[in-house]
Amino acid sequence: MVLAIRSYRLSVGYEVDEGLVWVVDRLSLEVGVGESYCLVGESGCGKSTIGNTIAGLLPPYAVTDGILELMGVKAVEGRLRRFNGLRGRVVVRIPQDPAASLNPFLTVEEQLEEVLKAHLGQLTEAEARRRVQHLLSLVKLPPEVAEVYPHQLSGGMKQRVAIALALAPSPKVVVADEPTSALDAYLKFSIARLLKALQLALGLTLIFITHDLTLARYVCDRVAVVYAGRVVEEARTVDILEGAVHPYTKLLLRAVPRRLNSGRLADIPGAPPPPGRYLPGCRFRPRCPIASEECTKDPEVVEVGEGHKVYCWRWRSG
Amino acid sequence: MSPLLSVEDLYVAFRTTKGGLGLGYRVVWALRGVSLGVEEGESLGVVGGSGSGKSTLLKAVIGLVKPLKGSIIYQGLDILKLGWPQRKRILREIGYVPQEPSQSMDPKMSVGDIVVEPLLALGIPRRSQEHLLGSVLELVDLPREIRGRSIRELSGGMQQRVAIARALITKPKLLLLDEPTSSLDVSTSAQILNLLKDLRETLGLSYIVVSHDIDSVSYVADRVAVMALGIVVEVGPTDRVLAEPLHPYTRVLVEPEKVEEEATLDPEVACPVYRWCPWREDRCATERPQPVEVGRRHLVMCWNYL
Amino acid sequence: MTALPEALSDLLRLMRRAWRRPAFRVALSLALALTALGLLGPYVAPYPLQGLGVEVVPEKSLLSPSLEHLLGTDAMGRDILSRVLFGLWRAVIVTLLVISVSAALGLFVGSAAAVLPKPVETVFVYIMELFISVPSILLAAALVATAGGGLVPLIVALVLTWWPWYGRVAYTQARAIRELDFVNLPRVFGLSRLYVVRRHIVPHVVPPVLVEALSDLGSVVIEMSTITFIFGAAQSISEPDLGVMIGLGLRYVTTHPWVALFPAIFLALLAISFTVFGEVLYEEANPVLRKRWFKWF
Repeated sequence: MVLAIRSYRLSVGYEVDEGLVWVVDRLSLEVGVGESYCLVGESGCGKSTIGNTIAGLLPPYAVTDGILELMGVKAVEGRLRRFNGLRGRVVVRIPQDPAASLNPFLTVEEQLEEVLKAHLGQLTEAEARRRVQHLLSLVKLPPEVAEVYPHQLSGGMKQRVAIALALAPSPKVVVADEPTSALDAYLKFSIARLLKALQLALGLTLIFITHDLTLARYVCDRVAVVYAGRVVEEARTVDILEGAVHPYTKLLLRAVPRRLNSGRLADIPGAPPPPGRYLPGCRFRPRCPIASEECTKDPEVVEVGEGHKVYCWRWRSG
Repeated sequence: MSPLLSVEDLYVAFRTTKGGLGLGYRVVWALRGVSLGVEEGESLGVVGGSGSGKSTLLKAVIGLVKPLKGSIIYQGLDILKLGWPQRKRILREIGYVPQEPSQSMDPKMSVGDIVVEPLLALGIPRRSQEHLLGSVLELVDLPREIRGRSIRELSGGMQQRVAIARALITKPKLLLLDEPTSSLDVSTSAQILNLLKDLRETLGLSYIVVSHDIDSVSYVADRVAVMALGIVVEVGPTDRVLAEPLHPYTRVLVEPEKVEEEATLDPEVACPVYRWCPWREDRCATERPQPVEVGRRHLVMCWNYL
Repeated sequence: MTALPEALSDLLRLMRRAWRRPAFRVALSLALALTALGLLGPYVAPYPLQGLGVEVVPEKSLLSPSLEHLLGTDAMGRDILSRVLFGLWRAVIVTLLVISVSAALGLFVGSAAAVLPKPVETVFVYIMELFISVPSILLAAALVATAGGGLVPLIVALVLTWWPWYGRVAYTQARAIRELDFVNLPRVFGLSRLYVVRRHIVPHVVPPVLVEALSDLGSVVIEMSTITFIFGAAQSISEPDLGVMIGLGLRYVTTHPWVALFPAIFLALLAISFTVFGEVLYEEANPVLRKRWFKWF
């Protein structure tokens, strides 16, 4: 069985003025074809870097280690990154800000055609137009949108065009990096719903990166909670939401205001450590309510249920 | 009981330039006849999507934008009809926490100077300023040493606390908060929401909290108003509105997963949800629905409920 | 004005960063040395009266460098070293004066344009654009033709052509921040418009203008000398001016090269050191792509 994504001890860092800063630490995960997988975490935890690595969009000053395979092909091996033929074809990314992927000087149709031609070679006018319309209908946009320029579209429509652009090369893996953060409440939902529907209809493998746990519930089969560059808990969505075991996950779930539930929100004191300034051992230890001596050692994985992994020494005492 | 603050039939419009040379212009209506009230000690949440006018509502109350029509009444006096000195006195009792803390505070000023700025026009001696600064920093749980730092050095959560401190320094009775947690992480957001909840109790404040996230608003608000395209569509006690959203647009915000239709809002017709409302009648396109009382202090603007 | 001390400390920090680069160290040291030399020049010149051009010694004309006249004498028998020192003094004074007056004027007009009502703003902007489009040499020619020679028309011409550049920088920066909440909120607190300008707008506008002004020092030196070089004959040739000296000395460049060469060397050193100083400072103030952009190639 070929996995859509497989990583083994994948680490990613950046070379900055102060030296080499590692932001993702020995990530090992497996995502099956057609699965919808969420990376949940707060800002600075490294989830975007993971998404960029999978999509082959790391900047030249990034450094990698470990292994990453996409559809069975080795894309990252130690320091080497080989994404030719993968990037933009097999794996695509939908960025947080739709304006980032839309060229303001081209109409929607022109941009979609550009991508289509890059992947399908020369197309006749009629064929190109047909495919563009097909993409627009996939993302539930009316045909007239083809002739407008991005600035004439609302935020939600821009995001849909960005999705259409990403789907143009018929990719297998889609990395959606906080695709709804820039949108208001209702749009958040309709875009998430759209992605979910597309994922099911086209059999895509979806990596959905978000800080919003409620969206994760709606979109994803499995969730990985990321903290300070490491996965701290990984399970099916329902198991995370109802049976979370890691202290951070539990606090995070209780920090989200839920209507009709006026219990006090969980207060996680302090702030996540800045990248590169990690203490040895469990990185959540300084803020963990149940930390103890043993937590000065890097936690090892514990399988606490079917497909439910946690990286914590003290998960039982939660 | 007369409300602490009420806005009545408020209209606000903006002119945006259009056309190549910027010679033409278009009028955009941000508020189209909004009437809301907050009682003393009460907390009102205002929710809606972008373009609903909720931020503009706060800006109109505080005086950053000028309404075309309508009144803003604070403790019985229409602020818009007062002279400048009286207005200044009243505005002292209303604190404002704007959106985006990084843009509402001058990065070249020290935190201390930022927080103390509202006091400068009030003729308060230096020593009192220092004293007030100390006590307000304590209220928002910030260490005294932060006075000398620039806001650039602070995290999002701390910046927000500074903005809240600045709003509190004039000892207001009413606090206006524009999207207080939208730019923050889940855990930081929880800290700020808890802080707001505590401050209300400790200081006996009234709030108007604006947000696009109905869940965070419901944590701190007793009543909630739902806005769309510059008008209020529903307003009532938070738990009632959330348990049983009556207006179609409220349903979109409260239970989006149940809404099948594409919920687009139309500014051209009288009721914004006309296009897809399951109960639409002809008059919904031409006549603005009047508020219908469906419960104690619970109003819905919809012909269907008449 | 609390803006100035803060801007200066920012500036010092910037210079400390720039100091890391060897080119900056050389340029700044040289620039400071030449400036000091220029300012002290009139007091250390061996033949001050000749330097000023008051005294002429026709029988000693065109002597090659010797112990008596370290850099030789020119066609009127004046000691070239003294002439050069006075010329340096003039160049330094004019440059510093032009830059400071232009920057101040530009700062004022640009900031005002951003905070005053629209009609005034449009007028100010139009004026700035108008002056930017005038080439300094033409303006100088016009002024020199009508007002005669001398320092004043030169300085006026230079200021008139330089100030709108700073005006534009100030205006752009002021406009960018005038929409931000922290500029509008103080009005809600009851503070005056003047307070807002002083406390919020000026501190943001001064640093970019300051950096622009400093990086233009070299250009002003060159422009000034170009004007005097071209119009040197129209000016009174007794006045010590590096550009004029070069112009007049060209006639003898094949036979008595030192007459033109020494002023040219000093001018070049001054211009280069100021320019490099300015360039490095500007680069440090505006890092293009901090993150190892070169790795993209």
